[in-house]
Amino acid sequence: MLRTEGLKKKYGRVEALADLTLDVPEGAVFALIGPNGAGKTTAIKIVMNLLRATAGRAEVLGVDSRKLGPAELAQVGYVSENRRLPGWMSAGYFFSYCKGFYPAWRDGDLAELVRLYDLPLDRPLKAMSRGMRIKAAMAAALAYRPRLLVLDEPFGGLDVLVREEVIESILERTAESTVFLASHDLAELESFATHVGYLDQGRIQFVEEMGALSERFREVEVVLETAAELPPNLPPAWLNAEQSSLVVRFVHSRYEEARCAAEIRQFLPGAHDISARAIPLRAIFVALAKSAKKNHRGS
Amino acid sequence: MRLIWPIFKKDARRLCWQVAVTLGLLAWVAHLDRWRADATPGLAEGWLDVLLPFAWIYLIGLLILQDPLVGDREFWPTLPCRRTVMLGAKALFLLAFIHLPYFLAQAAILGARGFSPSTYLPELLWKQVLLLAALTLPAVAVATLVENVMQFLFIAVLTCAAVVLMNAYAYGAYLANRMPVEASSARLALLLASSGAFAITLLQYGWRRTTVSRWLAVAAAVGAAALYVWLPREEVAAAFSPAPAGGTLSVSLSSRQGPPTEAERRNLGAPVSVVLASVPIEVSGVPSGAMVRYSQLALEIRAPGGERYQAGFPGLYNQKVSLEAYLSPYNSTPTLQVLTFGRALYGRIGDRTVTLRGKLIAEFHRRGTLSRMAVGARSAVPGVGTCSTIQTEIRFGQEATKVDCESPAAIPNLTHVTLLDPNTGREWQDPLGSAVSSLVYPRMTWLSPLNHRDTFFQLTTEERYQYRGSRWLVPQDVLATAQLEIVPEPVTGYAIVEYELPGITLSKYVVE
Repeated sequence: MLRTEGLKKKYGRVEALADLTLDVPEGAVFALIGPNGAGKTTAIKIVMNLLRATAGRAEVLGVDSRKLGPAELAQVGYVSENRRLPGWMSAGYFFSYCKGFYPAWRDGDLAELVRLYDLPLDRPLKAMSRGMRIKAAMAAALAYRPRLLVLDEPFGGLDVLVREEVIESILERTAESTVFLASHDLAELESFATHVGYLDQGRIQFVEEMGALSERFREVEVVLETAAELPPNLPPAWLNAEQSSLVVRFVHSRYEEARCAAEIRQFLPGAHDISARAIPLRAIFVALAKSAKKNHRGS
Repeated sequence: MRLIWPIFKKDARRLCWQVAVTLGLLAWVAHLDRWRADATPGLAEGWLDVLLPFAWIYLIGLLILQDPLVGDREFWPTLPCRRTVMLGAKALFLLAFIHLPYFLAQAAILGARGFSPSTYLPELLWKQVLLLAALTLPAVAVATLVENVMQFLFIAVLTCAAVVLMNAYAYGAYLANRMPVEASSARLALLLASSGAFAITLLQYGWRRTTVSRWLAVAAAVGAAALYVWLPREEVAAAFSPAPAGGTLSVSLSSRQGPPTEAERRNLGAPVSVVLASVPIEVSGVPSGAMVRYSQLALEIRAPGGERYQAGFPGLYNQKVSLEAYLSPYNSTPTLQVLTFGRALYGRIGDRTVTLRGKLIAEFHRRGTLSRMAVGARSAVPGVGTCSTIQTEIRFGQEATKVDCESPAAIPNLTHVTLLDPNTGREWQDPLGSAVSSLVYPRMTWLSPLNHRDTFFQLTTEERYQYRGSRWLVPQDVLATAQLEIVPEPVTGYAIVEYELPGITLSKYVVE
């Protein structure tokens, strides 16, 4: 449905994207996460043929993204918080203008979305709040039930209640579609993403199914018998290890119950009480980001 | 293709006010043009001829930037529509709101002034091509290369300023040479600029290759400017329309010695601060009966020690030069190579034997049909257009009869007008375009479908006429019975002639 292969993007000497290889399977809800400046928006813009990659290629609906034509674009919905909409148009005119471009446009769906999002049809887009504009763009993108929905920070500016509504409307209308999105709203992603890719400094760190990811990350708490300093060479899978008197806490990024107890005892010989608990996506993201920052500082 | 219409409607809806303003300006300029019987426009029309193109440029910028091609945040590139469809919609808008109204306004002006638009359809279409090449295409190309209207306006103003400066530079060169030639170099420059603009438009709408397109734009602009400013327009004119007998012309030193004749002296003149020398020459190879005008293009003095001195031509920016050269008389076969020296330069080379190496352009004409008309009449003049006379005040209460000729086709640069008094046989002559008024506002009327050229005969009472002589002043009472004779002399070709006059001791030719 959507693939990238060795995608690179350089702005002068700055490498915004380095060797991004992804494969988004049909029907997946693929969330690309990562800190600010990680390259998420750049990747999406290359996929949508808004930017030209320095190297590598992207494929959308089986077509090279640089050759996306009307036939493919009619099946792709794209919503981005930093997209410039024609602000002078009223929402109503905006929808009627877009309708002409999409043969699969459904007026019924649009009416429902307008009601759900509470969109004022006579108000110019530029007079709307950022959240309202995103909702208008979302309504226009969902009204033709695209095969592929590409979302770049789609929840920015939306309050919690509206986010729920938007997510619900997306899920309702994309049951047979593929969704590729970049977002910071990890709590929302957790509820509906099936795959997660973590991007940092333009490099993909991992791509995983959501279930496997949740299984893999555990917050581990170890109680030591006697106070001892943490050894310097802890396994790289232990993220953000901290010690507070007899308690050592860290996020294990490759947790396996059977193997990890032995591993912990090897590195922390005085460990006598080990507990591990599942953590939400947000905590995983924070742990990864913190660890990456520490590593960058170290290097 | 069905998507062209909704995009066009969207743009028309968005830019309806701007379109209304440009249509209003066009109607205004057309109204003024329709009533003008003068080569120079009035204050309002002069400024409108500048303002309307600017308004069009602004409209084009707004139109293209409704759906910008530069930037990665724009809405329309992800719409399922081919870029060629977008280009088609923009082209339809330009046709509907700029080119078609301009065409209709021009046709209406022609009709109102007694010219059949269908007869002059080629001229009207040529004007459309000029508008496309000089304004529409370059403005579209620039708009496809920028992100917003501010950037567009900045480049548009900068480009217009550059064009004005180049024109001033070229006008200075024209003043220096005195004889205007066909503006082939301007056409070549325009061809290069518009071809570049066309290529950029296709590149941007076809592939969005902004970096390549921007470099192409810079190259086309620099190339066009270089062609316009530095391409020797006389050589280009001679290359594009060579005179049939041009290759046989040659210039040599005349066997005639001695000072210039009285008749020749009348055409010479120089301030007392300079030294004037006139070298008798002979121009041979001129076909019998040919009508030729000559103009000096370059002259170099080579002294025996190897020093070289180039003659300068006083223009707008170089009023004082230490060596000037011209041919006399310039409007018939020249018999003198005239040189004026600064005293210091003459002191260095005056007594030495030098070689003169010169270059001139010969402009060949043919005599057109002579037409006669009564003063006060409006009449068709073959080869010129329609001419009319009106009595007008020129300055300080002085009256004049103005002869104004207009035509959708080009009027020959050299068109003789003779005012003839049949009772006395006296006549007063002046070519069209001989008078240039000094205006404090723009004088270009490039939007007009009509070319105008005029000349003035200053009127006087009998007493003043007796006192001042008859060369310029026409007695008022002659007008009642006077006839006008108009003869066009269209250019048939040009020839460039290079010559060398060796063994010249300048002091022998000094005119006291």
